[in-house]
Amino acid sequence: MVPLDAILQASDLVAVLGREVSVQLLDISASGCLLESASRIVLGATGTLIVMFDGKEYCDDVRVMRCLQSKGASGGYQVGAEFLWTKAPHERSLRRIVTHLQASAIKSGSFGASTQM
Amino acid sequence: MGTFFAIAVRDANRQFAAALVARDGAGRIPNIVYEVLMSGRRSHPRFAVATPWLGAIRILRDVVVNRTGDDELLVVSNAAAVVGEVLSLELMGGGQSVMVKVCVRDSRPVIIDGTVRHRVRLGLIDLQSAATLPEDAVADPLAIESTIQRVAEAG
Repeated sequence: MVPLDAILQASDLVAVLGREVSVQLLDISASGCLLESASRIVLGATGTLIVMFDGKEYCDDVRVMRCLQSKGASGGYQVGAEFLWTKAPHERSLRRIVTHLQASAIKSGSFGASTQM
Repeated sequence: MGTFFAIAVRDANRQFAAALVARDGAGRIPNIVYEVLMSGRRSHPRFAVATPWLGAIRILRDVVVNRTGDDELLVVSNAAAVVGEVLSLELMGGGQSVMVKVCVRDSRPVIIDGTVRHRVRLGLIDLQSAATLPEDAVADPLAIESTIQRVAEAG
């Protein structure tokens, strides 16, 4: 049995409410990314973004800089998120994907703004 | 070339400012911003994704929690919640930690100490399967088993 009552009565109780919103990553740069979500995300909210790329899970801490309703029929929201440099990029950091993409783009000669992948 | 362009823009701005000062007549520069500072975020090349990558964003916020019934909790938060949405609630205290799934039953704004807060009524979901966490557990995203898959299953 989970000691929920005991925890709730503790003098040093800390409670954290977590919300997981499914998103789609539309574009990415070294400083942030553009996401699409079915639900609104509070402006200024910070959280952990986790995406699948090349069969692997990558993540980074982000802050929501803007959240606008899409003009299309989807009725979703476009969310601009900025990477938070709370820690150095690790092996599965989204920020490392960007450098990988840049290197690939330079090799293929297609380096430039908003390169299609 | 770039230097020349920057100088040309600067000179044009000076001439524009001089014209405005002359037009104002009192020697005051009107409250006009000549240049809009670009955010540093836009200085990096952006890579558009042909097929959007699936993912999830996990947002945490601290709340004050009270128990109101056997299967219900009342929390006070600084953000509103959407009725029907399933959230996770992590509780830490007395050397123990537990994570429970909860469903938002109600969310109402309240004034507490002159500040708008939100009183959210949460229904406990499947308390029996609540995961007990070690006290030294850290919020390591990589330790969360396939968050994306769970979000996708939840719809």
